[in-house]
Amino acid sequence: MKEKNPIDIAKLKAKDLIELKKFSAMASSWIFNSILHSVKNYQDAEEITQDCVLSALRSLDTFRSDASLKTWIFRISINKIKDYYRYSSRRKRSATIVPLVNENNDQEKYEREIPDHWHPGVQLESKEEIELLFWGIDQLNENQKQALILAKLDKLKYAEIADIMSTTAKAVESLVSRAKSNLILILENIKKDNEG
Amino acid sequence: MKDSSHRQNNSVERVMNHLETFPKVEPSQRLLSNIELEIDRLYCEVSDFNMRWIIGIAASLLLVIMVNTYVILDYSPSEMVNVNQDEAIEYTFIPTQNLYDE
Repeated sequence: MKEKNPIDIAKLKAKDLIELKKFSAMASSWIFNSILHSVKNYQDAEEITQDCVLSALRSLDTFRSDASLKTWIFRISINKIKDYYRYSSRRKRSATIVPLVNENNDQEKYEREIPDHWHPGVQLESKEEIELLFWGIDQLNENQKQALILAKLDKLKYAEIADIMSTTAKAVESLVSRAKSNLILILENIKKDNEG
Repeated sequence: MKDSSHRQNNSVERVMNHLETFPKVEPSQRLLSNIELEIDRLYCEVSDFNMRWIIGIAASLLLVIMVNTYVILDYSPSEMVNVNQDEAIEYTFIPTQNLYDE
């Protein structure tokens, strides 16, 4: 079942300033959480969120009025996150080349720095355990990771995730279930390595 | 064997519970303000564009009126400012009369 849009699409398409601002606040709140958990860098998450909202506003004319705004903005955010991963991996690849011509050969300088406190909740709870958990999520394949984040952290329904990921609810359920078991395996292996 | 699978199930539940209770992070006020500013800028660009057209058309109309007044009524710019109402009425008929004379 499609969720009713909480915003007047006609006014939004007519570039009504109040409706545009209402949409931007709502959309940011929808997507920020999943973006933050995907990129694990607060500043980058803010930039990507802003980029998603502005891209959505720019392409409002192409939005079908009968579609769900939430699904649409989530799809845009998933594409932006994929672009971010591609950009990050390109940067990592080029970073391994740079030190060869660098006199000091200090490779660490070129590695992508992930701040310790990328999540406001990290300070409140057991920091190490949460960082390990998110490291584990990072090791999952892209679809499993996305499905798990949307289902468990954004608490979206399987049907909504299916719409966002252009698949079926059954497939999402299976993705989340495989993500769970893979995540457990990864965490168990890490524990064994630490003990051994 | 049974023990190990039980332990693993507990571990799965613990991890999943942990994920589900993780707090949802809302965007900061700074981010929302930045987006609002961008929207304002986008909106203002549209109105600036319209305003430029309005000013342009108004300036062209004014120029056309000035040139017509100067050429047809034979008013110099200083006369346009200083002329009194009676003279203005009188002068308006001169070019028409001249045209017919020719």
